[in-house]
Amino acid sequence: MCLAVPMKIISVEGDTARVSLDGLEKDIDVRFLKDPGPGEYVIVHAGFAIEKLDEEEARKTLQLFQDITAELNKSS
Amino acid sequence: MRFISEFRDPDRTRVLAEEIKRLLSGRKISLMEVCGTHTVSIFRSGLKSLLPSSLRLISGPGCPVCVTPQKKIDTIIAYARQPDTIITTFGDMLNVPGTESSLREEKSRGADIRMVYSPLESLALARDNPEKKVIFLAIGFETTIPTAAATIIEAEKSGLDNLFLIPAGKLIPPAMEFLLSQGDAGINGFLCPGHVSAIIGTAPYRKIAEKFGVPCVVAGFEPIDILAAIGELLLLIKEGRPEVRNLYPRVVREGGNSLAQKLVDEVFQIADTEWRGLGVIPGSGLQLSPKFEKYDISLIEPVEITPSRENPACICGDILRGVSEPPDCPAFKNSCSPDHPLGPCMVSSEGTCAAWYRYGRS
Repeated sequence: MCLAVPMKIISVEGDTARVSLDGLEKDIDVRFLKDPGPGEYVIVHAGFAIEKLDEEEARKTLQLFQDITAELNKSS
Repeated sequence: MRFISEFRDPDRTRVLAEEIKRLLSGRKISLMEVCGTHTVSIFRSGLKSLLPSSLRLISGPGCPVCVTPQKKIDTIIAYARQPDTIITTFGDMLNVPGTESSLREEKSRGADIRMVYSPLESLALARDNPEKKVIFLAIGFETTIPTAAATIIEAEKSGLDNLFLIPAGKLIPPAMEFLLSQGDAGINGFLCPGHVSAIIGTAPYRKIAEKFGVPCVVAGFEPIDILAAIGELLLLIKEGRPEVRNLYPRVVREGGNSLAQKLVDEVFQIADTEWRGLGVIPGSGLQLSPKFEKYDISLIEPVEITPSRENPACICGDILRGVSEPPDCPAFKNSCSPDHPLGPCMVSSEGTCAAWYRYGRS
């Protein structure tokens, strides 16, 4: 049951954050995050943020995938 | 959106698929996608048709509704029939056929069954209906279990005495180990669930990879995530390296989510649990820890049920073990369809049979 979507934090108050995706806004529980803040992207599942989306890691991952593609090419 | 479109880029998708095809060059490899969400992603994004047929992608038991045993479903239905009871559940459970009935059928007969998006919604219902029992059906894997734990903590904080749980959470790594030790699915590598891993980290897979010599790659859910993970698995298999890789570092931290883990450790403890189709897997489930046992309705007010029976035509168990595929089932697309499901694999949005039915070629 991995179904979860990335949403952007608009505001945080205690354990609750207002998040949005494509104009849809809702309140979710952020107790599982360390210092969530406005502007951060989070993965939302069953009304909770289960992790933050790391933009830098996203960028590095795309490069990693290019490396894998090159490696596959070399190996066949 | 920055975090989605790059991972769906059609050109990169095509190139990766071609490289995978070339590397395989007709060799037979079997990879298991543990997670139902991966199964659906693979179908929905058309990856199934891009990948060569010598690559067997086996759907694993990563659909929490699908692996709930018949007895548990019948038990929930029995509670739903009780007076002054509100059942709260995730939507998928409504249509799962029990031995004689389903939650949806009970609802149409007057049972108070509410679909919830978050288990926390059960708290408000309990507060607003002090004369009733609110019972939350806590189905799910490690991604969802922390949300049930948080609900119990909130109930404790509020001093609610009419909120209960039916603990039905299950753990993925013990199921992976079980499947490998059974050996009959012939798994060469695992595509590991991205959001379960966000909670548990990558360490649990290391033990599995070492013990069975099978590489494990944690993957996200976009087409390129999945293809890159498949590519990485093939490279590791080719080089004989049973290692663990995290290809979803934008969400998965190596140590997982320690705040979630801590809360789960406080509220739940590990137990042996029965999985539909797989039998009892040691240490694969959760029950409430002693401090929170009072929230377990099945301990506080056990309910009697008549002996449970699965539909004899349903081969859900074999599908969950990875030894059969939906087209192997005589009932598939005949007597069994999403409108008239014989078993949970056809009901759940992450069920293998539902995915094949909706997205597979005829």
